[in-house]
Amino acid sequence: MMHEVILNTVPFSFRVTTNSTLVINNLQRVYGSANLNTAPTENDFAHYSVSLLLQRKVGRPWKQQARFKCDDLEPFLPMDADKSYAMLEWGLNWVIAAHEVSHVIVHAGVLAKDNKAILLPAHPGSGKSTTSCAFMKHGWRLLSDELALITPNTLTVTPFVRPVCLKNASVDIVSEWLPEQAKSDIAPNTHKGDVAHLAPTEISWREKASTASLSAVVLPSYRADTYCEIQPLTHRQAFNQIYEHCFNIGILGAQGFSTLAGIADKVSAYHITFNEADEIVSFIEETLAIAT
Amino acid sequence: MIFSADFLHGIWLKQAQLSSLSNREWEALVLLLRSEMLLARFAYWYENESEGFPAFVQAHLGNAKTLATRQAKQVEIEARMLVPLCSQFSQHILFLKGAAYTLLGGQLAKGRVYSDIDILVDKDALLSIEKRLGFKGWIAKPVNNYDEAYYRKWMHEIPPLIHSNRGTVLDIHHNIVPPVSGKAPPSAILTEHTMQSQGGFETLSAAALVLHSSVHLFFNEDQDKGYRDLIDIWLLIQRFDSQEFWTELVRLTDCVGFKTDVILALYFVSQFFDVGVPKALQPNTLPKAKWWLLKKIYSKTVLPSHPYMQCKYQGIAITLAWARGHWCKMPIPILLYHFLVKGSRKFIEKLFGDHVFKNSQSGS
Repeated sequence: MMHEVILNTVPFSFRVTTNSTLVINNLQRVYGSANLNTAPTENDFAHYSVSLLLQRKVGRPWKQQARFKCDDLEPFLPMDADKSYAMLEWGLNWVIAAHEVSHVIVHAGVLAKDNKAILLPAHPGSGKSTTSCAFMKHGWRLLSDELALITPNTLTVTPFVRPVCLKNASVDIVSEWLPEQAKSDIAPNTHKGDVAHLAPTEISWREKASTASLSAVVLPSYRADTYCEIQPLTHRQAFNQIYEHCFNIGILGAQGFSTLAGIADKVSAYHITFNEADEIVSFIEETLAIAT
Repeated sequence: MIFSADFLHGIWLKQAQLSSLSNREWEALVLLLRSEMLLARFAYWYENESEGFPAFVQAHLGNAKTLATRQAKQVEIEARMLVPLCSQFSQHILFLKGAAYTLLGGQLAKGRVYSDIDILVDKDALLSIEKRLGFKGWIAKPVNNYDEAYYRKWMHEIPPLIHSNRGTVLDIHHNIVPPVSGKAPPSAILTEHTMQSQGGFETLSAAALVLHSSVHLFFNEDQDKGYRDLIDIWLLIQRFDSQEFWTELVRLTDCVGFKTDVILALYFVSQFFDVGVPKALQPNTLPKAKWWLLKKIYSKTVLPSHPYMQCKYQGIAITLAWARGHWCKMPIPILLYHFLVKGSRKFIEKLFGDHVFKNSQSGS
């Protein structure tokens, strides 16, 4: 059966057309009915329109394939049907990274407490999502796990609250930290391993429309044999790191450059090698003088 | 939520009732315009009226303008770098289509977006230019082996080049139609009809730009983005309208041909946007039956082919236009061979999925 729902995320909403029950069930579970409009009317709109369709090929009738599309664009190769929900989440990230130029967009997690936000730019596999969850465990709210939307030439981050993508061993670890949070079905054997999407905490949803101001940049990098090693970064190192993870600097040009330079100038940055994410949280809370 | 052709034309004539659109209809209109590469054009067209539009539409228009501004800037930078690289091999480096409109500036340029830069150079210079550009980071975009041979043997352009750092795509032409069609004009005629942009770049003359755009639209197997091209032609006419312009256009069609294509383009522009066309380029100069058929087919295919566009029998028209386009471009034996190869590949794709001929890294 074909479903058409509007996912009312802020600041961008999505009209999702899908015939995958897995997708609909997981959207319900992870975003909750408050964020999902299952019967859109003429007055409802979405910023972007995407589809996630399960199809069978004549030459391979025993296996369904999931295909993600936005307008006429298909950014990914088809995946197996059991990865369809994860594929949708990645697709939504892609849509925003590819179309939005009103913000400087950095591939990074963003969390905040007392309006002080930290930016976690990182490569896949560095433990960014796990670190984000450790912050949530300590009462920080999630603004985003993937896309930091920064207003040009400011330190202001606009939240884009969506689930956190957990991989492999971190699925179980984080489930223990945040047992209350809804979790999607596991998408097995993706290019990132077994992944599950975890719903953000109550406070993250509640404050999904309140911006926060960047106060620190942390580059997490997980290493099993290092407890916690903190290395402050120079302005230039910080700039290079944020620049490397910025999606749309090429389009924003000078404006993008000055935004990133502004962050590197005004905000202290650290490279933290860790195997105990809680240590990063205590360090940051101490540095920013946040009451725990 | 399905838009009529009249509503669409009304947008550009500023006669459409945009204020009565529902949110859902606005959403559909944005999708339709973006899919036709007209969203940025629309954003500039309504720059002073957009305050009354819903906030989410304004956000899209803002994005579209940012992207278009960036592209225009990039094209100018690329042009500045390309000309010195090519000029030692080719006497003329002519900018065509979208890049030409951008470089010419004005309303024509505002919000015109495209996916590649098209230039025309001397045929003898092709290999040297390709080699030279290769040293500067321009590499051939991956195409399959059949398409590579197709371009090299029969076409009026080489396979597209892509810049390895900047991602810009460059189409280098040596003519405006495939030589294999037997209808390619001597390139000397093209290089006689040129003009300079304010920035000092050479483009085809206004009349030759109209001719080329018409050829691109109708002497071709698909009319994808055809509606956008008609708006370009309309804007070219508005900007360069003069006795000399029309005389040059008539003379051009007399000596290089493609009169039918130009007549078709001017006919639709005059119908949609209320523009006067001189007698010599009106449909009654064509045989009646031929015109009847062409009009039937192309009046459907120049409209956007989109789920939100109302257009009956568009599918059949697109198929017929596709057949005519191939018929124009290639002699029969080559056409049959081309269909055989393309057809069998299509069949295999149907069977094993659209991505079977792609290598596994290219998609994600």
